[in-house]
Amino acid sequence: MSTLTISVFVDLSSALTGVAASQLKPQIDPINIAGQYFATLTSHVAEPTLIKLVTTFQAAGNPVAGATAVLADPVLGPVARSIMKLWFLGVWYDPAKPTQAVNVVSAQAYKESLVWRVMQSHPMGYSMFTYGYWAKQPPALNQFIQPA
Amino acid sequence: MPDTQSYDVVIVGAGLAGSIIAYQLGLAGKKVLIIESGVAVPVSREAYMERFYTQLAKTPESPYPDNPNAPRATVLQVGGNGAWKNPALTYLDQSDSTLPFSSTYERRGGGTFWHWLGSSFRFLPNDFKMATTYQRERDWPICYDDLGQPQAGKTTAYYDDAEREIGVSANVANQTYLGVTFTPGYQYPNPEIPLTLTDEFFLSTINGKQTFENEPVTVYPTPAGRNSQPYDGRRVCAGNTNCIPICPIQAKYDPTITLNKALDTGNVTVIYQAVADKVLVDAGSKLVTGIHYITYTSEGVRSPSGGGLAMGKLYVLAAHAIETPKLLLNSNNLLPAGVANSSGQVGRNLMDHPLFLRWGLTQQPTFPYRGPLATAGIESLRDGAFRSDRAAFRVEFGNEGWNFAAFDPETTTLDYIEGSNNGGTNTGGPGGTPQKLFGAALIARLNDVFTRQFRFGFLVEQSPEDDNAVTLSSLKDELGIPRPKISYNLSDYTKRAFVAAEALTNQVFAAAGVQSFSTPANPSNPGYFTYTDPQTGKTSAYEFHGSGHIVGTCCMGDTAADSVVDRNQRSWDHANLYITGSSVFPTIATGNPSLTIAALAFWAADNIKNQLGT
Repeated sequence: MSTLTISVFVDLSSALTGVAASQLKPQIDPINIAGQYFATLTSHVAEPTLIKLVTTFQAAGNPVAGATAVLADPVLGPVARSIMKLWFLGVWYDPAKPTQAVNVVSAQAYKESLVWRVMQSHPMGYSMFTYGYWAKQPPALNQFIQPA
Repeated sequence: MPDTQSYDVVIVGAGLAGSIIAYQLGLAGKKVLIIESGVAVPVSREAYMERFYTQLAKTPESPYPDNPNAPRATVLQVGGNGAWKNPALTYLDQSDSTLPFSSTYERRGGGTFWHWLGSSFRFLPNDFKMATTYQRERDWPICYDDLGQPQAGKTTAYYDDAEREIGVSANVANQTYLGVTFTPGYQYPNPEIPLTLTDEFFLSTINGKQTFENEPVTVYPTPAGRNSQPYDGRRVCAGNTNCIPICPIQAKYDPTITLNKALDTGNVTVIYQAVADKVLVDAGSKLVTGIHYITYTSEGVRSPSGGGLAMGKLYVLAAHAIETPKLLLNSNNLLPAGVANSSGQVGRNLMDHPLFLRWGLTQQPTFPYRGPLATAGIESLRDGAFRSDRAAFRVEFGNEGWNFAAFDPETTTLDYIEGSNNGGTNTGGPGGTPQKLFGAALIARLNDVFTRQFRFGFLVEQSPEDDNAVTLSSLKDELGIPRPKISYNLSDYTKRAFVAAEALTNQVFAAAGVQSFSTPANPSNPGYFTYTDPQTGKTSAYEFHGSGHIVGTCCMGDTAADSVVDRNQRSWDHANLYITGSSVFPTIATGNPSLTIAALAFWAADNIKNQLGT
C-alpha cells in the first residue's frame, strides 16, 4: 500500500491528459506546475482516496488501462477528472461538484494550462508570439503538445 | 493640499476626454486641476495582470480591484441570476428597469479605457443627421465635416487629432466608405493591422458576393487603437488576444499615456481619490463657483477622510455618461432639478450598443484565440435606406473563439471531460450522445473544436429615448452619495435590428458553410426580450449583452430647451461649465464611440482655450 508520490501523479496525469510526462514535468523544472497541482490535489483529497488512486492506476498494467480504470471508478473518477481540469485549465474543481470551479491555482497555472496549447495558441493575456503572427497558420499541434 | 488654489480649469475625471483636454490646456500654459474619484495610475500594471490571471471569470473588470469609495457596476453583478434587479447586489439601482443596462465602467486613473477594445471608428455623415435623412432619432448640432475635415484656422481635423493621439493603425482607402472623407493627403499614423485567418475566411467566402436589404455585404479592416509599429514610445502589438480586459504590454492605447503627457507639461495637477459630489453655482450669475469632493484614504475599504472644494475659472465634467448626470442631478441644493438641467434632459437618452452574439464552427480550422480581439467586420450595413424602418448595426468579427459567447475554453473543455454538452459540440457518442474523453482522443477533439470557433458581434444602434434615464436612487453609496438609478428598455426601432441581424446571420452562415452553435434566447438570462412583428404577428426572442458603450444623458443640441450642452459642449445654463465625453452624444450610431469621444475632447479643449483667452 503506497501513497501518491509526485512521480506517480505525473504518470497518471500524462495518461489522463495525453501529454508526455516529460512535458508535464521536465527533469529540470523551475516552473514546477506539477508540484503546484500535486499540492492542490493532496490538500483537497483524503489520503485513503489517494492511496486507492495509486493502487487502481498501477494495478491495470499500463497507463491507458490504468487511466481507464481510475475514470470508471465512482470515487476515483471525479478525482481524476479534477486532475484533468487542473492541467487543461489551471483551475481546481471540487470532485464532489464537478462543474463548480473553486479557484485558479496560480497565475503561472493559468499561463501553463494545456488548453491554450491544444488550440495551437497562447494564453489570453500572455502571448509568446510576435506582431502579425495571427495572419499565418500556427505551428503544428505537435509543436505545442508532446503526446504521451 | 492644493484645494484652496484657483485654477484656470477644473476637470472631473481622468479618463480619455479629461486627459486629452488637460493635455491640450497644459500645452497652452493653462493651469489645470483634475479631480479623479478612483486611485492613481499604477507605476506598473503587473498587479492588475496578476489579478487578471487568477480570476475565474475574465470579465472586463477582472484585473481591477473593487473600491467601495468609488463603486461601479461589474459584469458579474449585472449578469448573475436576477442580480441586476437587486440593488443590494449591484451598484446601479435597476429595481424599476424593464431591461438590464449591462454595460460597466471603471472609476480609476485612466478610466474605462483601461479595458476598451481599441476599435477606432469615425462616425458616418448620416449618423449626425438621422432626423433629416431618415426622420428618426435626432440630428446632432454638428455634422461630419466638423470632426472629419479641418475647421477654419486649423490644418487637421479633430478626428485626425484623435487618431494621432491614440495612434490608430488603419488605411485611408479601406476606411473611405458610406460618405466618410478625410483631410486631403491624410494618412493614419500607423499602417493597417494584418487580418486574422478568421477575417480572411469571411473575406473569401462572403465579401462582395452578397447583398442584404439591397445593401452590399462588405468586410472592412477595423481601424485599431493599437500599435502596428513602435509609436509614441510604446510597443508593437503582440497579439495577446486580451485587449479587453487589459493589454499586458500597453501596445493598445489607453488614456494613462495622455494623462502622463498632460502631467509632463508641468501645468496639470491631479487629485486622486477625490469623489466629486456637488457642483456649486452662484444664485445670481448662474456661474459654477466650485466642485465639492470627498476624499478617502484606501482603495480596498470604506475610508472617507475629508473633502475639499476645487475652484477654477472654467469647469469640465468628463466622468462618463452615468457618473456625470449623477453628479449634476445631485447638485440640487440651489437648483432643484440639478445643475445644467433647465431642459430636463440631464440623465435622459441613456444608450449603449445592445450586443447580439452569434457563433459557430467553420468547416476548416481558422485558428481563433490569436491576434487582437477584433480586426475586421461587416461595415457596409452601418447606413442605408433601411434606417427609416429599423436601427443599423455593424458586425464585429471576434478573434476569441467562443470565449465571450460561451465562456470557452472552460465550457467545451468541461464538456469533453465530464460528458456534458453545454457548448453544443459534444454529440459524437452513440445516437448523438455526449462523449467522455481522455488522453489523445481528448486532445484531438478539443483541438478540432477550438481551432474552428468564431463569433459575430452585432453592435446595434440604440435609439435615444427620454425614458431611458439615469436618475438618483434613494440608496446611497459608502460615502453617502446617491447611487445612480437606471431605467432602460429597447425601442421597437432598435429591436427590429435584431430581427435583421438574425436574418443576416442565417444568410452569411449558409454562404460560408458554417454551422451555428448559437444558443436560443433563454428567458432566465438578463438580456432576454421578445419582439412581435406587427405585420405578420410573429414573435421572436433574443438576448443582448452590453457593449460597454455608455452614451447619452447630457446630449448636445441646437436649443437650450431640448439639450444640455450646445455644439461647443458648453452648458446652456452655466457659461463656465463644459460637459464632454460620450455623455454629450445625441445618438449612438453604430461605430464604437471612443474615437468620437477623443475628437470631441480636442474640440472642447479649443473652445475652452478660446473662452479663457490668452
